[in-house]
Amino acid sequence: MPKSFLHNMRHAGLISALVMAPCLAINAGLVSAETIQAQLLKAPNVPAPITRTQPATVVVNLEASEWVGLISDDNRYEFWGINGMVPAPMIRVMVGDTVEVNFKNKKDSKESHNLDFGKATDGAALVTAEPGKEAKLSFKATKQGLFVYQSSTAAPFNIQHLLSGMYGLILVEPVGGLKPVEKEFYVMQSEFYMKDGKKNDTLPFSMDKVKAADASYIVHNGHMTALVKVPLRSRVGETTRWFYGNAGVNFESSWHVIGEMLDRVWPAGDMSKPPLESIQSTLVGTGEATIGEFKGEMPGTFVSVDHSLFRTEKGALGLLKIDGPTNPSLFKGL
Amino acid sequence: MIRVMLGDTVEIRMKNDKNSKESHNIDFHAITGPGGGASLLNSEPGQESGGRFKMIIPGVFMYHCATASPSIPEHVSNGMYGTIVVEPAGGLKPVDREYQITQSEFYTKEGGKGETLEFSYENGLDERPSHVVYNGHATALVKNPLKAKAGETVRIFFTNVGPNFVDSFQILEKPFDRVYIEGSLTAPPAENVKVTKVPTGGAVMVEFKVDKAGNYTFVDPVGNRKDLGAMGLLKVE
Repeated sequence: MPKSFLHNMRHAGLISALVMAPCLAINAGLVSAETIQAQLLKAPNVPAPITRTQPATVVVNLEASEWVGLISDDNRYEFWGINGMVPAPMIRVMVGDTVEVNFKNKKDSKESHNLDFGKATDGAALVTAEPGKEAKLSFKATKQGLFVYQSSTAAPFNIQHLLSGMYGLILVEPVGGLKPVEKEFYVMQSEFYMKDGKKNDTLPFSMDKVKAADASYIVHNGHMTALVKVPLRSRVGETTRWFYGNAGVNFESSWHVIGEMLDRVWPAGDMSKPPLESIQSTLVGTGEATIGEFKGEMPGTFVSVDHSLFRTEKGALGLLKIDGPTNPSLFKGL
Repeated sequence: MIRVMLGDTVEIRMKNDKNSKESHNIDFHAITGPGGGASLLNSEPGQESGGRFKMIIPGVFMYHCATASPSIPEHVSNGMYGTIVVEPAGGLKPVDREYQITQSEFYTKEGGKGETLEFSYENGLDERPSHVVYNGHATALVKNPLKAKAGETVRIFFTNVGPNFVDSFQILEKPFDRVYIEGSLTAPPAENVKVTKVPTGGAVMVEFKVDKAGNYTFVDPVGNRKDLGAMGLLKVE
């Protein structure tokens, strides 16, 4: 058997032991797990990094509601979202944590809403609430990685839920957390399908356009110019880490940052494997999420895009403004 | 295709022909800095611009025009793209044959045989191409197949310009021996890959040994893309 395989097995064994030992201790009633309230912030903000090494119980309070808001400067849309946000807030936990979701559906909702956390655990993890009701879900975050949580395919399924804003990311970190970096961002690409209309109209959902994969908007963080009007910020020399999700449902995203290379990419958010290095554009499948990192080498405005470039005309872009000193040995006009 | 080494300084002079109607620039995915150099490399018709850039990341990269007027995707759709390979120090391992294939889509209005077809921004937005081609023409690599001899190892630098489609690259007759996923030359390659997906604005390097004589067929197997031109031949003698 190759040495590297044995080494990996030992490594995996060690990690399992590290994860399992505290879990067993907690299950056996030897240690009482800490209870933590999840920090639930609006994208592009990311909850604080995890530094603990013991599993905890993380309480996540989510409320579904329906509201009319701007999708672009021209048009409004009736969003169905979580905590008044599209995308839903990013949830950050550690492998081995118990996640307790308190899921409310606002009383003036017209629809029953649900959320599916099945990708972050073993088995079904669906929570459903009728208007004005509340439901609870508890699951163990058994798999490390970056996952999309979303309105689910449970019957009767109406894709309008997913396509109106019911999606977000859940990060299940390895024990002890990820390596610290200077800045972290949360960006979610999503598609909106609407009937045509005039400026200032509230445009209704269009199932025909979904079926024809004819998106009206493809946006980063819930509005056509969310990250253009309020750019992300960092400084030269800082490493930025991006949690980049693709809600879909029709288009795979080719994520690229104009003027920068992704130094490290964990495809599909899988942190159990070594990252790809030096990547210009990386594929993010529908319903998938990716972790990418790079160090800012030059000051200026950098554009994060889905490099399927016609989609940038529908909103699939955002800006990162890097401040700091220029580096003429790297980049200089003649 | 431009070929340089990690650590090289590349000096680019960008001329725009005096008969051009549009201003043009270039965004090199291999360049670290605003616009991938586009901020320095914009040239009006009849003018020239230039920049000096250090190559700090190895890989297979696309470069393309990124002028916002009339729109970036229009400049890319119309043919303003190429490939730059930044080799690791000491270069890539030698192989017997190297080729570069670029897949791109063209978006035109409909028209009769013999006509010059106009660009269609609408078809671009709808992601409905009229042509999906290898190396700039619907039959470029069918009329002039790539060539190799039995027993040789072939390397292909494959670039997906888009401007819309994520490509699937495949040889019908055999798997690729090695695929350098997303053009990364530092990560170990995937092996024995039948079809590889290439993101838009991305690239991949593949290598394979051809054991037998005959015609080998490259395609993008998705939907009707090969009918729109995404097909090429490798003739092995």
